[in-house]
Amino acid sequence: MIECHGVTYRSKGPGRTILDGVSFTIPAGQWVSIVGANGSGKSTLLKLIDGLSLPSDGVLSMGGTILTRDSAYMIRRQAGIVFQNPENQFIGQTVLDDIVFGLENRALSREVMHERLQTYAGQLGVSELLYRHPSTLSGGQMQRAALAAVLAMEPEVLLLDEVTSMLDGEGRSEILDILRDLHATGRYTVVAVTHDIEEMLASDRLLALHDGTIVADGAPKVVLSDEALCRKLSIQLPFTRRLAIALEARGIDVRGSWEEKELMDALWR
Amino acid sequence: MKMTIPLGRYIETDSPLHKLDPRAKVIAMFLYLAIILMMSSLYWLAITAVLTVVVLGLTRIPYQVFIRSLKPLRFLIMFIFVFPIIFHEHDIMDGVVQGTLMAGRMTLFILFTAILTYTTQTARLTQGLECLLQPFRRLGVSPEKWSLMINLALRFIPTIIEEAKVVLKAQASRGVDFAERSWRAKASALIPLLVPITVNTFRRAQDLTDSMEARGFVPGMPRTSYYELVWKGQDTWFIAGCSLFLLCSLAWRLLLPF
Amino acid sequence: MAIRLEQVTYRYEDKHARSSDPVLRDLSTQLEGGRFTVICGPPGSGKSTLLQLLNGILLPSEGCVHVLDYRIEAGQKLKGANELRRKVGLVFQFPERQFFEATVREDMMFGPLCFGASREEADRLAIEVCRQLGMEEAILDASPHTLSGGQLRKAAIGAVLTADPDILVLDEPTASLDAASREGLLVFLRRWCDMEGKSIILVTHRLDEVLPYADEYIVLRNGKILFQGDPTRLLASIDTLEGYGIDVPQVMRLLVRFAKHYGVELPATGRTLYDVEKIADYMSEVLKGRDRYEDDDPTRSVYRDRFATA
Repeated sequence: MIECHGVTYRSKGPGRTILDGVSFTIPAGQWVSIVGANGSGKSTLLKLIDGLSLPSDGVLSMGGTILTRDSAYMIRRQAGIVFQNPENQFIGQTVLDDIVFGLENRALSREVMHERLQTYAGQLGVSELLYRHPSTLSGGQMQRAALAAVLAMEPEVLLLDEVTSMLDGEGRSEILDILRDLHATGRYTVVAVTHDIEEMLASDRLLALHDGTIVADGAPKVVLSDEALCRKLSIQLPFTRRLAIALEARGIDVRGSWEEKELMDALWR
Repeated sequence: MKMTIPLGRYIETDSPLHKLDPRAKVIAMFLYLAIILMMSSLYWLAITAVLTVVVLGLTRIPYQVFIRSLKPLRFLIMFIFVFPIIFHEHDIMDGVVQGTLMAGRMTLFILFTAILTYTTQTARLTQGLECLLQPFRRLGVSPEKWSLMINLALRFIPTIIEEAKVVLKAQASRGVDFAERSWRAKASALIPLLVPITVNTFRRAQDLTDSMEARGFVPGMPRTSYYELVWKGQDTWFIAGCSLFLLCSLAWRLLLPF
Repeated sequence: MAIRLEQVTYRYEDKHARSSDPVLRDLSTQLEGGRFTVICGPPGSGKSTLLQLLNGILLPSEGCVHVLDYRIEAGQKLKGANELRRKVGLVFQFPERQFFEATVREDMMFGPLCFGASREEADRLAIEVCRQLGMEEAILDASPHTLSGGQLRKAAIGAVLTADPDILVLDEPTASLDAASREGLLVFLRRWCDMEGKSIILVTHRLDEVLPYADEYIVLRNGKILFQGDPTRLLASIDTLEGYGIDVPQVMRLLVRFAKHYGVELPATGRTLYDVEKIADYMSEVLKGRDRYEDDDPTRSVYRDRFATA
């Protein structure tokens, strides 16, 4: 679905190389987490995938379409992107206006817009909020509305840039549940830049970036088992996992558990 | 904690004015403005005031709400009333007449604007305005750009106000004394407030353009609209009524001595 | 060096609503000086409002707030507001949004200058705080826009620290930071609190992060105090808190259930308990003790004796 070959991105101005020779392939329906310390190029990569910028070198493609200045528009039609700050991507004066904004851009008919509005606002639980001004919404509600707006355009690819990092615990678990549901439908390829361990563990694959290059690519639990790597990426494992590792080092069999319940089951003799 | 938006708040009631097409209301606004500006007689002021109050009643919004809309500008209205009395041209009665006329005009204008904003959702107003500006395309006006600008401003003004409140509190916590006496100090106290807001607004603009482009917005490309503006018979009657009133105003002004 | 709230109620004044629900209701409490206090609770429980009452940015609608030697009373003008704000440094959420000077140095000097320090004095304070925060002096001459997330946050907090407050009040200081930056910041805050005469009051929704550092916890809900106590009391109250819908950290649940299941006592109940290696040592000793003496009389286990309940 998404292909990246030797992609390099140099920023204008100081000429810093943000991405250097990045290559990977993402099949349709996969949920990929992109991780790494701040400044490793994660957000830039996401914007390149969406065609919001062009690479300095290398080839990017989505659904078979190679990214060029002219094809960027086509690529953006296949993907929907949600950014980190819920406030700065909310265009409409009400949730309804924001959700239909993308549909109006596509010059869809009123009937189609209405149908999609009902479907996706319902799916994301924002039907009650349709006539509210964004300044009256919580962060979690705004992110759900942003997701509804993106899903309403029926993309094949969902690109998420740290969508939960500015939310509190409740907001974060709301979004995570929604992501799990969306993934389960099999209709979306999800590429999510994230710092959230729970989100990483829920995804299919972890792509770790460091200083603009890929340093790890594999199943989340496998990649995160590398302690040195985690430190390099500034990732801290959840408490239960760290405890499990420490117990293993002391000869206690924890049966490789990651979750609290698993660990308790292993420890309760 | 999120606050309610005081700016041009839309109040939902089931009144005939709510059902009017926003374009009709915008046109009526301009007609009303003409009526007010041409007014030079206290009698006509009284007649216009009575008619305006009737329209107010039609909105089914309580009168207290409209009185509250005058509150922020009450000192300005009082000043406009008092000024000609003090600096009268001929005699004090003349000053009183002038004062009443000018204060009356101001009050009526504010009330009509309130009627407009309380009975029309702002997004519909801009939609109406965009439609009405179409004929001016030939003069180089881009109705879509204006509409977008106004919509974004209305979207972000409450947010920016909230942010400003936080910045104000944060800088006050750091020792900026906004109650400082000297003008120079007051002016320099503005910098810690304005710079962060401006920087954040620019950053926001960048994020916004990314978001708009990502959702397929291309300036100039044809778009449809979820809301449909339908001009109905009642709209024509409303405009006809306003136009008639304007003609009467003109006639009164030209033909009658008082 | 204490804070005392006497029946404090706070209502937002909304011109369009006749009366609004109080954000804080009849709140009375006392906070000792020199401690690291954590305030937590669900969104809308009044945490941020409470913080803003502590330095007089907000005045209570009813009741009285006593901070250090100052009285902040409802309906009365606050005397000495500026001095109070020097002594109680309030750091809002995302403090880096308030940067307005061209360099970090200028911004860090801003606070002391407002409070009447000379430029030399302010500069000295900026360098001092920079060193305390473990940042290179070169950062002072950088523009805020060039700093990374973690550094930026530290610099922003530093800008409040240069005024040399006695109480530092922070609203979600670790929001949006990556794991290493979060830990680094909390370690710094604990160290700062340990200095003579300093107190910290911190609002967070991530209890698990602050467990190794906090001396006292206050849980707010619907504008009232649901719980106030030290780590030991918190540990003893997790079932009650869970019943109220508070997110109890996994580590606490795990420890309490482990100790209960094996009939042993926890090695500590204060904040020193929350170290992964120490917990692993403790758990493995209990488990090994159990394994080794499974067939024997468990009361004779050396390991069991160490942690046995009375």
